[in-house]
Amino acid sequence: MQVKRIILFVLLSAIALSCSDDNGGNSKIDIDKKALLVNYADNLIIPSFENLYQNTISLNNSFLELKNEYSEQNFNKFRQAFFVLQDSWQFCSAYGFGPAEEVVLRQALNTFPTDTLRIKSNIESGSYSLVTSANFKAKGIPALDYLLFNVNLDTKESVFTDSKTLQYIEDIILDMKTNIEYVRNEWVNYREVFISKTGNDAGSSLSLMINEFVKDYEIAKRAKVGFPLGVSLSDVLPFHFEAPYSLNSSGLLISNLQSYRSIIAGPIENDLTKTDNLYEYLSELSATRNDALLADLILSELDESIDLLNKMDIPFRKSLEIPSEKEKIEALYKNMQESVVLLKTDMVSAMGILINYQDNDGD
Amino acid sequence: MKKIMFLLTAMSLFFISCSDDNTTNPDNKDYTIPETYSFDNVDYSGQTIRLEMVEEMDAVIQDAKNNGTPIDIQKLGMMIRNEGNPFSSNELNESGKDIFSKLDLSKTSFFTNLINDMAAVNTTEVAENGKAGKVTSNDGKKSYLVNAQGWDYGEILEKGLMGALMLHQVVGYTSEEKIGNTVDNKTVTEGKGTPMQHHWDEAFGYFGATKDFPKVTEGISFVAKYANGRNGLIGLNDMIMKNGYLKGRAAINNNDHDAKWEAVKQIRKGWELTFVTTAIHYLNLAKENYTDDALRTHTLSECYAFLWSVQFNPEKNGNYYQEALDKLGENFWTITIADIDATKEILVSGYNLGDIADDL
Repeated sequence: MQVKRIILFVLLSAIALSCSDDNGGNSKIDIDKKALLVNYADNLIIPSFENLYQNTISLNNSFLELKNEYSEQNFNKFRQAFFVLQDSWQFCSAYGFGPAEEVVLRQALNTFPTDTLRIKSNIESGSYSLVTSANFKAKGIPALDYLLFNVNLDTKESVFTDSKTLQYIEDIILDMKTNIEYVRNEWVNYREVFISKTGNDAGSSLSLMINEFVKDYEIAKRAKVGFPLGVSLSDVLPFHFEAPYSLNSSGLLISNLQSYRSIIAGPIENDLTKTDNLYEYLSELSATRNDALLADLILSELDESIDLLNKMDIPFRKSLEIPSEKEKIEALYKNMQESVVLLKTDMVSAMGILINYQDNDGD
Repeated sequence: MKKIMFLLTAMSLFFISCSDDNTTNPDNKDYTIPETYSFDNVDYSGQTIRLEMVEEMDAVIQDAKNNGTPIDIQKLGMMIRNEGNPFSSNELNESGKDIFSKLDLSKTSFFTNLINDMAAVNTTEVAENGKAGKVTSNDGKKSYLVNAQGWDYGEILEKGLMGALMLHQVVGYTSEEKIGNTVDNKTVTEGKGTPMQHHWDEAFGYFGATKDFPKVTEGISFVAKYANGRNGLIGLNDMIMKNGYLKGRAAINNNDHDAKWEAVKQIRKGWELTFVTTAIHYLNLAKENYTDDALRTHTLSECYAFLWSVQFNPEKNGNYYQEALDKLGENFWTITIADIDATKEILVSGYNLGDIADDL
């Protein structure tokens, strides 16, 4: 299927190139792709990873204070630092190409549901390697979500003064810091590569960015909403939400959707003299659906999802038990599904980009 | 590489679409090479039967998985030797053909051991490191039967046979003994052609293509399916069909020995590249799905068996496949991202695939 599309595309473009007389190519439209890539790199992606990195440092510092001296205040500061870091990841998850792809950052930081049995046995044995696949389910943000929030008031102090537990948390934070620091540092060099690949073929930066964006959106829809809701299997799985222990799943999803929104609308630093964001790009391409501008439709669908989330005041995990609340999550899932068509079909075809991330071969 | 291919494709289309030149014979030979395998007197029914046998063996494993029953290893043992009417149709049972006698002799025990090993799997229990069983993907949609090391039995069997049976036989049928210049290319048997032609057709039969491939890509299986799967990036269809099977059969029909041996080279190289690029494809998928036990063990099993199958090309490119296998290791539960990256790097640099490796 994908191959056929590539062939068709090559055919069409080759015919257009070889047999037509106009030498301007097919760029009737004035789009400064380089300006767009520079804008996204400098004002969206690099600052997001920088922010994530700084928040990891803060998390580490507050952890060291807690480790040094347990107090209610230090514990709360540590939790607060964790909340900030957890939220800032939502603004990075869509940029899973380039340096992030090398270290499979999404999986390393945010594989959920976390494996609580394994976490317990790792802590107990004190012997584990966090780089093996089995321990990807026992580290990262979801593991900290469990360790920091699945606490009993009576035993809290004894847990967070226990040397084995503290060692495990320290190792998780170090592992996160190593990966995040790598991506943040590599972007310094990768930026030049990123802004230089201005085409829209399979290796171009626009193609990479759009592919990862749509893929991340589909993961958000499926893993953060659909799967725990039971759309794949018939049973609901309340502990399969992203942050079931801190009860923060819906809040994180709002941030995630806002991040997607800014990928379409562009960072607030958009240069008004240039076509340097996807919103303007899609508008220049006159991409429409049912007479409405595609870029507007995408933004309004994302806003609608955010709106639906804002109207839910019971945490996802608990909502599953209440039919009227569960219906709200179902409505959200349906709404998020609608955007998939806009992004994965309409948007990519308007831009002449191929979706090339792979579903499994099925054999 | 990809850009060059794009350019070449675009340029060749330019010729096709804008010129009147109808040349189909760039070597100035006095014969043409057809676009499909539409030669007279072609018969590779024996090969088709063996490919169907492999499919039925795979189905035994699938049935056990779906029904939660033990893998019927006795049946698999009968199937690989075609003893005791194990297949669903008389056409296969009474064909007088079997897989076992066509295997690379040094590898028969690999397959009998693999089948015996399947007795250890309890298909209703969840597999984990050190324990054979069934492993299901995180989304619940896919499941596989794997051994204690995370080897997906179905994939190791099927893809292993692509090497030890199919490539091994292709190499045999394109050897000096079977198509050398002294082999009879005059005595025509109705429906089968000359001995040399027939040997060539048997080598084609193991590819899993239809006669219209690659003009038509429906209905293909086994190696042809995987060649076609990577074709967009590396042009394997033309390498194996146009410059391989089609060119060679036309050459044999016209006693053009030089062209015949050129075609043999392209076929063997094309099969090897199909295996290697598909292995990289699965390494990419394994990394992408690293935290999913089912998808990781499944894709790495595919990768392992494809790489293992490279050994059957006598003209293989160096020893990169073995270095890659060593790096990959044989336990797909405990493998790290660094191991996957390093395995890929050996193949990418050894085969000079840097430009397309991440897109495979």
